[in-house]
Amino acid sequence: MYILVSTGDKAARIASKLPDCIIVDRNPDSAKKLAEKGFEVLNEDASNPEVLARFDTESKMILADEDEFNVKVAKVAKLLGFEVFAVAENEERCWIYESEGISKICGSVESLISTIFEKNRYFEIKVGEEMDGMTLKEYDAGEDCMVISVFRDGKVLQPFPELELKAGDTLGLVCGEHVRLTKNPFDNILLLKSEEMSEREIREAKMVAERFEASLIVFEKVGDAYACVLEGRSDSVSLEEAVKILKKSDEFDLIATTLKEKNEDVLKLLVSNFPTLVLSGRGDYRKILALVNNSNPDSIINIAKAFSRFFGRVKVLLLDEEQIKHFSKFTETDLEVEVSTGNPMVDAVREFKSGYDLAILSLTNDAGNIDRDILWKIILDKETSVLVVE
Amino acid sequence: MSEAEQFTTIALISVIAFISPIIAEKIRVPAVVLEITLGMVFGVSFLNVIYSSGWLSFLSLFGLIFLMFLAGLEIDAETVLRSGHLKKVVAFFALSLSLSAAFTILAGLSLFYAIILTNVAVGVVVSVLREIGIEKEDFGQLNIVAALVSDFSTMFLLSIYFLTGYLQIAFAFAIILVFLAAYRFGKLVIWYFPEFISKWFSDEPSEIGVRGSLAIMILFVGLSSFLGVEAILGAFLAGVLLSITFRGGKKLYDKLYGMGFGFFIPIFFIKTGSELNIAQAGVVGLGLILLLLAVSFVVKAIPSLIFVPNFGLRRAVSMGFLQSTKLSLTIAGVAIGVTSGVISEPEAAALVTFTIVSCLLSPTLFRLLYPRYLPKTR
Repeated sequence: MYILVSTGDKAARIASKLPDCIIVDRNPDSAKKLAEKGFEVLNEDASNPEVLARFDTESKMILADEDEFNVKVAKVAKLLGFEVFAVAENEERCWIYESEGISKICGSVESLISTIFEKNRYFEIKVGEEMDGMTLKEYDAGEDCMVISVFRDGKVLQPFPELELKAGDTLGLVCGEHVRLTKNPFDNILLLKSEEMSEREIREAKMVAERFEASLIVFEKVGDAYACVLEGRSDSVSLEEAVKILKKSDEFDLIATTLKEKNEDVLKLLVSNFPTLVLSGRGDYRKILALVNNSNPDSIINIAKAFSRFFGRVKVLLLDEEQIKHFSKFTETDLEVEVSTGNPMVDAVREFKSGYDLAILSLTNDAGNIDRDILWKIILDKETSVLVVE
Repeated sequence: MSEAEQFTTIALISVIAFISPIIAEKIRVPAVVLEITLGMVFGVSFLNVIYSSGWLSFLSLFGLIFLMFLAGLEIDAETVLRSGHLKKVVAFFALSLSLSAAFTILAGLSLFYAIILTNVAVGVVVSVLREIGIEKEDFGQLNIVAALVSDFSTMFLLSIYFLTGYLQIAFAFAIILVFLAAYRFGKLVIWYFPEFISKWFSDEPSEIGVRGSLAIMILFVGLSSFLGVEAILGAFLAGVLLSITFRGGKKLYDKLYGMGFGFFIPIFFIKTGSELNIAQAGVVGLGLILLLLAVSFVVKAIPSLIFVPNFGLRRAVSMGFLQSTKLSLTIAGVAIGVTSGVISEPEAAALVTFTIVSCLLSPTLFRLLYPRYLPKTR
């Protein structure tokens, strides 16, 4: 939920772009007009701690009133533990926020919205003579950036790998952590090796590591504990301790392991910290399916894009029509997107059973209607490896 | 009665079924209310031009079965189980049922009344919440889950209320065992034959999904009848079975709703209305209606106080009013009650009138009491 401290047309403009928002407007006339327009409005003074104390502190607070008033509210909100986004009314007066140590946005309402929702940066660069004739594939946008549009002679071109750039073109780039994840998601892969693990499964883990040019580190299971070498010392630790150490070291991006039976607790423990690849001994991933079964589809979509870069085409099955909006900004990768039109669970099973080397899905499973037992049948399937994200 | 007279009655009912939602939309009342009211106008109470016949009885019975089937189909087990308030909702229902039972015992009425008083119209609750835009908020979700739990439990209680003797109770449990086995079997079918099951949810002209769903419904109804258990239990369980096995499937559900609410169910409501003699209710009936209205609010408003720590007093009490809304399933219960002799004709007339008033009054009281512009509390 968003708490918007603002007034008048500006409040309406921002609130109309937020999915679940209450406006706290200190001006009674403006509050009345906003309420008549259908917004949820509270006509109160947000600088009063008693007013803010009524809200859940997990809500995000957006301050878009007068600068002095914003600062006053921000101080109270920070004391109560809210995450605050302040929009400077007058960019020349941004210093008043800095002097109070309040993070602010000195730009348009649109930059506020994109900062809240995307956490990415967008910018444009001109193609010079030295880049003329270069294909988009040859153009190095860097690990964190990708080209999302090419402007030429007043037209917007869809970027595709073979597109030839011309001097005078303008490239629209998006940069951020989320882009990096789609380009090179795994630096270090941890193989949780058990005694029952077959040679084929170990080979699969090596194949994935090689393809992503990632290091493969092995923790070998001996009895109930894992023998590991970390920070120069060898140790024998439980799975919980191992995960804790790995999380702390912040070096690993993916866990590869096998599961012989349904164990919700173990998988939850792994997946809540790292994407987890449940190996089945596939030699290559020629056919990949991403089942988008969570309400925050970006985690699955980003991994699907990453796999499409390194393994080829990925079929993405959206279990909810609403998820389609997450695709508008992705053009560089080889994803085949399909939306379930019948029963999402039945469509997912039918697609999965048509034969895939790898399936990507979420353990949260809060979108679509896949039954938990069916989800586990997919995860434990012997013919298909499954990459499980949170 | 001649065939022409039978067709005239069916034609008249079809016209009432057609115009009811159109007028209902204009005067902002649920279509069911108008169907029952117009049934009363054309029935024995006033014009007396709706004649009983084998045809009409069959179509009406099928409408009741369809209504129970769709009520089962609407049960969203996932929403209920995922709710963070489930324990409190169960306590809310138990308290509400206990208060209703205490009232009926004190008033010397049958326990049938306790079930009716605890029931709630899920469809009306959801549409009221949607109307004021809070159906996705915590408070809205709580109301939906509370309505689903009350609806499922009261329908189940109503189904087993009419059981008589140990043998019937044993048979009812046998049907529940068949239901559980069918659920396990359904999951296996989805896993091993997804291609076939996906056809149920497609637009193929053979309408295999509709045929399959109706076959399941009729099989369960047939099994209930064969074992001497009330048919509504079978229909309700068949709906729940489809709901929890397939966990959604808009296209198929829309077709089933279209069949049910487009034809069979209005016939049931209109016929029920036509058979009610409003004059029979009399002054005693008026007293019963007012008493039931008051009690229906109390048995929901008091238990709703357990939500005061979460939502404050005003919201909690407003929830009590919303949860006291009655409609189609109460009417279904009344129809079965009359057929099985649990309630008399005048009582049925009073109960139907109480249902109509409750359906109009409860959401209005909720809207008046609900603090529209207050933010969510912690």
